[in-house]
This record gives sequence, C-alpha cells and structure tokens, in this order.
Amino acid sequence: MTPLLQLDTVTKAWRTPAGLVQAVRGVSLAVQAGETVALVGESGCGKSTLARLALRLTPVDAGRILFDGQDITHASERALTAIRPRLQMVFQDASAALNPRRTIGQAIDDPLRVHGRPNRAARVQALLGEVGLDASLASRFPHEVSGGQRQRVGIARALALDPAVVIADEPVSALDVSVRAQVINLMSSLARQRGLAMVFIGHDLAVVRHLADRIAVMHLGEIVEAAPRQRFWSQAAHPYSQALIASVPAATPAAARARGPAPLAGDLPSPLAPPPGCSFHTRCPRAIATCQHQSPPLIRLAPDHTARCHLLTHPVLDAAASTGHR
Amino acid sequence: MSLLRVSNLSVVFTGRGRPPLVALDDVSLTVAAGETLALVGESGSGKSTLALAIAGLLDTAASVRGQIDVAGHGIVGAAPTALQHLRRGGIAMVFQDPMSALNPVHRIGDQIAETMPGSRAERRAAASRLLHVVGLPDAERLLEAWPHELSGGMRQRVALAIALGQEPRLLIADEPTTALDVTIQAQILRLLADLQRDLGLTLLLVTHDLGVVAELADRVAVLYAGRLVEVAAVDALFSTPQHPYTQGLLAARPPFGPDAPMLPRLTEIPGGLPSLSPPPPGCRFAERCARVSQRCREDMPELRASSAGLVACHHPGATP
Ligand SMILES: Nc1ncnc2c1ncn2[C@@H]1O[C@H](COP(=O)(O)OP(=O)(O)O)[C@@H](O)[C@H]1O
Ligand SMILES: Nc1ncnc2c1ncn2[C@@H]1O[C@H](COP(=O)(O)OP(=O)(O)O)[C@@H](O)[C@H]1O
Ligand SMILES: [Mg+2]
Ligand SMILES: [Mg+2]
Repeated sequence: MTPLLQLDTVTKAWRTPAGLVQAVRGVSLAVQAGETVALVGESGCGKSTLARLALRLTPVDAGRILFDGQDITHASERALTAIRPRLQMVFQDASAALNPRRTIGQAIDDPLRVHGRPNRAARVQALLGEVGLDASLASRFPHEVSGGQRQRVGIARALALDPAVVIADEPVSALDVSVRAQVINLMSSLARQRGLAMVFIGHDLAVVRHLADRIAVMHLGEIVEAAPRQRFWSQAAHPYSQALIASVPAATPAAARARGPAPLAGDLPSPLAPPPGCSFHTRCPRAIATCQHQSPPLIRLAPDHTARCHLLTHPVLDAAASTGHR
Repeated sequence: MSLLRVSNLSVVFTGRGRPPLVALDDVSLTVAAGETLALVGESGSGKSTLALAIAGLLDTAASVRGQIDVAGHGIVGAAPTALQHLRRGGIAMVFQDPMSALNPVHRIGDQIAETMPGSRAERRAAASRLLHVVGLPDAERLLEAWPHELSGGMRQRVALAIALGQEPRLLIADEPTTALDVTIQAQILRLLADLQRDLGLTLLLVTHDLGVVAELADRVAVLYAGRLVEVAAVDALFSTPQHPYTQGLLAARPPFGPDAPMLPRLTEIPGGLPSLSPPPPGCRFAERCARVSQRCREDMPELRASSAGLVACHHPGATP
C-alpha cells in the first residue's frame, strides 16, 4: 500500500550564529492511512524540525517528501494549496498558535473561509461539537478559556478541512494530568472515527504507549529504531530506546524502590557537532570500539522493526540487546 | 519532631483592578526532620505559593494569614533581616528553571563560594567538594565555567550545590525536573534520593508529576484549588487513595510498565479548576466529582483522619 506520507532520507541543517545545527540527518519514515506513528526523543533531537519539513513549512536540504505517492519536495506554493488541507498540524502551545484577537468561532472558521468551503457556520458548529466544546464558547476569545479548551480549538482548526494526516507536535505536553487524559481520549477517538493518520510527537512514553500503533525513536537527528507497538514495548533493541523506557518515572513507590541507577550518565551531545560513528556512543552503556568511528548500519530485526546499532550485528550481543522493557 | 509546621495558612493575592485571588485557604501540614514530603496538584493549585511562603519569598502583594514555623522560628511577618539569618542553616530552594538561581555574569565557582563562610581558598575547596556531591566530578574546570556553557541538567546540579552550600535544614525543590529531558530527569531524581539519604536532608518536593512522587516521597500532600484534600504516606496514597480527586489523578495516568494493560480509553476527570476569585463555597472539587451531594456544594469538608491518613471529603473511601 502506498504510504500516505513518506519521508525519504530527509536532511536539514539550520544555520545559526554558533554554526550549522544538523537537526535532521537522513530520516526515512512512512505513515500509512489510519495509523498513529509516534516520534519520540529528547529535546533538540529534531522532532519539530522533521514536522516542519513534512508539512513543507521549511525546505529540505536533501531527500524527498511524498504525499499520497506524489513528490511534494519542491512543489510550488500553488500546488501546495491543494495539498495543505489534507496535511494539518496541532501545536503544543495553542495560545501561541491562535490569534488573540479572533474569537474561537472565527479561529475555526478561518481555514474554511480561506479555502472557500460552503456551509461554514454549520461546519463550525459541528466541529465545536466534535472536539467537545460547548457552542456558546464560539464567541469567546482564546484567553477566556482554559488551556485544555484552547487545545481543543487547535484540534478543531486542524480538522476543519478534513485532513488525511495530522501531525501533532507535543499536543498534550503543556496540559495538566487531569485535562491531559481528556485531550488524549479526544485525539484517539477522532483518529479512529475519521480514519486519520497521525504523527504524534511526544516525550512522555506512557502517553505514547497509550496512543501509538508504531514508534520511531529519534536521537540527534536520526531515527535509531522503529517498531510496531507490541514489538517496541517488549523487544526494543536499541540501547537508547531501552534507556528511554527505563527512564520513565516509576508508576508506584514499590516499583521505584526496586529500580537501579539512572540508565544513562552524562548529557546529550550537541547537534552542532554530532559525535562521529554512532551518535549515541558517548552515552551508550554498551558501546564497543567500532561505535566510535563507524556509522551503524540499519538492521532489520523483523519485517517492520528496524534499528541502527552495531551491537545488533553481533549475534552474541544480540540476545543481551533485546531484553527490552525493564 | 516536626522541622516545619504550617498552621492555618491562607494567602490572598490582591492586584490592582483585579478581584482578590485566594491562592491558599487554611492549609496546615508538618514535615518531620529527614523526611521527603511531596506537595502535588495541578498547575494553579497553589503549590508554588506555599513553597514561597515557607521560604519567606512571597510577593509583598500577598496577604498572608496563619503561622509557619521552621525549627521553631516563625516565618510569617518576620523581618527580612531575620529571614536572611534563618536562610543559612535554615531553608534553601531550587526551582524549575535553574537559571533563576544563577547569575549569568558570574563564574560557577564564585556563585557557589559566595554564600559560604571562610577564606577564599577554603570557600573554593568547599565549592569543589559540593560539585562532587551533586555529581559533577570535573570540578576544576566547572568552577571557571559560565552558566550558559552548561546543559540544563548541569545547571540544576549547580543550583543544588548552591542550595546545599547553605547547609539548609529544609530544602524546597519546586518542580526540579519538570524542564529536563527524561534521561536527565532520571539522573536528578536519583541524585535527590542519594542526597536525602546521605545528608539526612529534609525535602519539600513540589511537583505535578505522580511519577516523581513515587520516586522520592515518604509522604504526600495533595493540593486542589488552594486547599489540602489528602495527606498520606506514599504507599497508602498510591494503593488506597481516599479522596476522589487523588483517585482521579492516579487513574488518569496512562499505565506504563512491562505488564501494564493497554486501555481503550483513559479515565478522565471532567471539567477544570474552579475560579479562585472567589472560590466556590463548599468542596472545591464538587463540580468535577462523581460522588457529589448537596452537602458538598454547601459545606466545605475539613481534613479529618482517614484509614490511610487525612482526607477532606464528605464521601471518602475506596473507588466505588
Ligand atoms: N528555526 C531554527 N533555527 C535555528 N535552529 C533551529 C531552528 N529550529 C530548530 N533548531 C535547532 O535544531 C535542533 C533540533 O530542534 P527541534 O527540531 O526543535 O528539536 P525537538 O523538537 O526534537 O526538540 C535544535 O538544536 C534546535 O536548536
Ligand atoms: N504573584 C501573584 N499575583 C497574583 N496571583 C498569583 C501570584 N502568584 C500566583 N498567583 C495565582 O495563585 C494561584 C496559585 O498559583 P501557584 O501557587 O503558582 O500554583 P502552582 O504552583 O500549583 O501552579 C494561581 O491562580 C495563580 O495565578
Ligand atoms: Mg519540538
Ligand atoms: Mg508552580
């Protein structure tokens, strides 16, 4: 099946006063219709840059972006006008994404108006209902509603043009636990009911485990592992994926008492100067000499499970490397 | 013996042209020497207001009623000079953003040494020792570094070193790992646990994250809309929470772990925090509560002994 959204060895460096930031380095990722793919990794690893590239909000340095089989890497703004409605985004900070001087109703109407859609008033009402907002909120301004309600407005806006793909960049990270559950439930039921494909960018692995059909782990601009949910949570193979899983705070005090030392020592390396060889070797508890100077190959552990790690090419180490979930 | 005793503390913010905001209402709690008390609640529940009040750092626009005693010294209404005196060997604080504790134009070593007694050489040696204590072994180089040269995790360690340099009897940490990445958060949580064990620190840990609570707390106080709703030992709070809000918070977390179930839906707490200007009469959680009765809307529940600790609820107990 042709993926709905496909990134093929996409690369992007940002020019900054401190030098070139290698934000995305040869990333390939395919998203099928109806599936939710999570992109996880620590801050600065390039998740938001990848989202901007996929949406053609910023140009790639190299690589290709395909939407529904069509190469849009260098598509003109005019050509993109036809595609943009099908490919939408939800941001972490809904208050920054919304115009403070436009009411919630206007904010949801804006994309409909710009794209000349019919029956706008009825559509706005239906969208408010779909994201669980009372119709009376349409006349309020963004600052007059709660953070959870603003995020629902952001979601309604993204859905207004009936997209096929939604890229949600940390959509619940700024929300409190009690409200977060509401928005997570909303997103998963919308994805199911509308058959949406979703790229869910997040750093809270418990939320990702709940939502994602497939997980892709980014480290310093590269996807180091990708696997479907069952395999990922039971057999994550890359030492970085394993460390991320083991870093999640314990669910209970008993589990906390049973745990060992922190999985990783030291800090994330700088994307201004990614380490040579495997970019994770400076923090990897199991690095071998090869890791310091040779880029790890992409290893296929199952038809839909891949990882970049030298240890996985060594059959003896393979067993130890796939102990998976703590 | 309790090191910290907060009694009937209320804090009201009165701003120009704004109705008064009741950030804390009749809060009482104690922290025993050597224990870690976690103060949890969602944003806006009054956690930072309580932390700042205890540290004597509250905005002068706040009107404060009640008592706060730290090792027998009263904080509320104390003169600023008396508070300064209390700070050494008294209370130190670390914040979510470690930069707020660091001066960007002073080298790390000077900032740690600044708060310590002794000759220049003695203070420098002490600063170097403190950096080791907080897990920064390359002290010689770090003493000369500027704050902007450090990562977020290192800055939080330095902020801890500065706090520890004051040899506090009580350390208040307000969301100390919230801004950090998960692998760095795991390091800082273990560091705090080690410091607590090795130095016998008394820690007031402010957080919205129940995972952080599970990792560090001995006891937990749950704050909702400016009132304490439940206080219990950490195991009891997680295994037999008594307040519907505590139960809701625990249930709203997506399960995680090797044997955790995959749920079709998460348990939601409907609605959001009530307005605090003024707060509703009766129980502040009433509008979101599945067990609400007429009494809850009229009559404010007080903290009372429960099977597991203290709970402020007219209908406490296990989830039906
Ligand atoms: N517009 C930009 N200009 C310059 N540097 C940027 C820009 N956007 C992101 N970066 C840098 O690129 C790297 C990756 O950032 P980002 O994609 O935001 O990561 P993430 O979303 O995973 O935190 C970081 O080092 C960041 O500072
Ligand atoms: N200096 C201040 N002036 C006015 N209102 C304040 C001030 N500080 C906090 N508040 C209000 O008090 C309430 C509690 O805030 P805070 O203690 O920061 O909560 P938390 O730390 O739990 O998020 C909030 O409604 C907040 O807006
Ligand atoms: Mg980002
Ligand atoms: Mg706070």
